Amino acid sequence: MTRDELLERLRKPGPAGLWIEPLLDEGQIGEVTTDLRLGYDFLVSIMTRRPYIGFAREDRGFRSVTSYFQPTRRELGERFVLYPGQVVLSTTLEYVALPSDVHADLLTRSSYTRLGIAVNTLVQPGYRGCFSVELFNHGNNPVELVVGAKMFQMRLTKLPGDLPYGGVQRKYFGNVRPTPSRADEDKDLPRLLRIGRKR
Amino acid sequence: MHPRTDLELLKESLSDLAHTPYFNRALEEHTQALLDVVEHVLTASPSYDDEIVRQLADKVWTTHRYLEGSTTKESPYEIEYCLRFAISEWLTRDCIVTTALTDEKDFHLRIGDPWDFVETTLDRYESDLPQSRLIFIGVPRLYKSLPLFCCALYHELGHFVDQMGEVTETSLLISPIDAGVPEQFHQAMESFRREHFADLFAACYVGSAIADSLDAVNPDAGMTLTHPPTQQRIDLIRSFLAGETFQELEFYQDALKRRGLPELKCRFDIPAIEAAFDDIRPHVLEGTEQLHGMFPAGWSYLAKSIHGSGAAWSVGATRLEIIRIVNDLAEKSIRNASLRQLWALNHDA
Repeated sequence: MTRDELLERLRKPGPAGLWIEPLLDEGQIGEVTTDLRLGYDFLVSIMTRRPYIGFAREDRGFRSVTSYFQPTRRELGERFVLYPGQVVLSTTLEYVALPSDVHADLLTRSSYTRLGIAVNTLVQPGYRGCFSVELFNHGNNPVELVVGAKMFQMRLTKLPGDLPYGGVQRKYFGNVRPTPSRADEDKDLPRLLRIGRKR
Repeated sequence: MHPRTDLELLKESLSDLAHTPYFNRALEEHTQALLDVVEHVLTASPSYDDEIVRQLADKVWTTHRYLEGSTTKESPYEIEYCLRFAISEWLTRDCIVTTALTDEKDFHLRIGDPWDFVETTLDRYESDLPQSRLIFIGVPRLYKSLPLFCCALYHELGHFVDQMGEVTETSLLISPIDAGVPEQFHQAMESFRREHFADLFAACYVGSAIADSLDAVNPDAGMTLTHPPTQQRIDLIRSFLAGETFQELEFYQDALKRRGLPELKCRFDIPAIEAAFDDIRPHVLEGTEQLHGMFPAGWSYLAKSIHGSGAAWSVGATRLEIIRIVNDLAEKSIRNASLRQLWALNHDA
C-alpha cells in the first residue's frame, strides 16, 4: 500500500480502517512503508540449570518456556543493550489495528540490519496489538538500543478480500507486552511425541 | 540486631545499585547521598550512639528495598504516572515515586526516606541532602500488569495526604468523637475516620472504581478495630459521588481548608472507551482528568464484559481473559498518553 492509501485507511472507521497509536511523528509514514518504534517491555533470555528448552510437558523436569526469560521494562528514551547471541522479545511502541483485508510485514530498518539485527515478521489481517518482535544480535558486538527509536518498518499489503483475525482463541491477541513462545502448546506435539516413542 | 553490620551490608548493596546500568537517574542522587551518610556514621569519631545507628539502619534498610525495586525494572509505570499528577495537587514538595513489587496482598504508599531523620539527628553530618522526597509504593506482584486493580493506591495516597496534612487530627478538633462513645473505642473511631477520608480522597480521582474495588475484594467485610464495615464505606463513597452533602464530608472540607489543602471534589473525567475497547484498541485519553477517569471507565467496562453484555470479543472468553485484556487496554491507553506527553515536552529540546 502506498502512503496515500495508508492515510486514507487511517481516516476510515470500522473493519476497513487502520489504527496506529501513538503515531508520535507523521513523518513515520513513508511512501511505501511506515516506521515503527522500539517498545519499552522486554523479555530477556537467561541461562538456566536446564540444558535445553523442551516442549514435552510429560518430561520430568519440564519447565514452562516463560521460565527461560526475564521481564524488564524501560521508559521512553532509556537504553537497552542487546548482546551477541542473545534472544530478546519485545514489541513495537505502537499499538496497531490492521484492517481485515490487509496484512503487514514487519522488518528491521536497514540501519539496524547492518548492525546484525534482523526482524522479519508477518502479521495477519485484522490483528490488534503491539507487534511482537524477536530481537537477535547476529553481530559480534553488543548494540545499545534506545526505547522509542525507529527500528522497524511496516509494509502493508492489500488482499482481495476480508480475512477476520478472530478472537481470544487466537494466540497473541491484543498484545501490549512481549509474550514468550507458546510452542509447547502446539496441539500436534503430544501426537508427535507418541509417534516418536513407538519407533 | 546488628545495626553497624547492617549498615556495612547496606553500603555494599547500595554501591552495587549505584553502578547498575539499569538504574533510574532520578534516584542516583538519593543513592549517593545514602552512601555518604552511611559512610559518615560508620567512620565518625567519636561514634554515634547505638540507638541512633539502629534507627538509621532501619531507615536505610527500607529505602534500599524500594531503590532496589526500581532497578529491577518491573514497576507498573502506568499507575505511577497517574499517581504523580494526584500527588502534585496535594504536595508542594518535589517527590519521586519508587515502587517495590511485594509478595503481600495489600497495597501501600508511604514516605520513608531518611532525610528528616538525618537532618535532625546526625548533628555532625554537614553535606547537602537531596531536596526531593521519596514516596514508596508497594504493589502486589500478581497485580503488576493489572492497573485497574491498583486503584487502591489512590486510597493509600489519601492516607498519606492525611498523615502529612494532619487532616484527621484537625477534623477531631473540629468535630470530636461523641462523648457518649466509651474511651476504649476512641482509637477505632479515629481509624474509621482515617479510612473514610482515604475513601473520599480516592473517590475524588477514581470515582466509583474505588467502591467497585472494595466491593470486589469483600463486600461483606464487617467492622474491625481498624476498618469500618465495607458496605458503610461504599455508601459513603456513593453519597459523595452523587453530590450529597453530609456532616462527615463537611468537617473534612473544613479541616482541609484550615490546613491550606485543596478540597475534596471530583477530579476526573470519564472517557468514552467503549468504541475503542469493543474493537480491542486502547482509547486515546485527553488530559489528566481522563487519566484518572480511565479507572472508573475500565471497571464499568470490565463488569459489563464479565456479566455477559460486553463486546463480541468477550463472548466465550473466560473471566481471567477478559480481566487481562481490559487491563491491558487500560494500561496501554495510559502509557500512550504518557508517551505523547514525554514526546511533546521534549520536542524543542
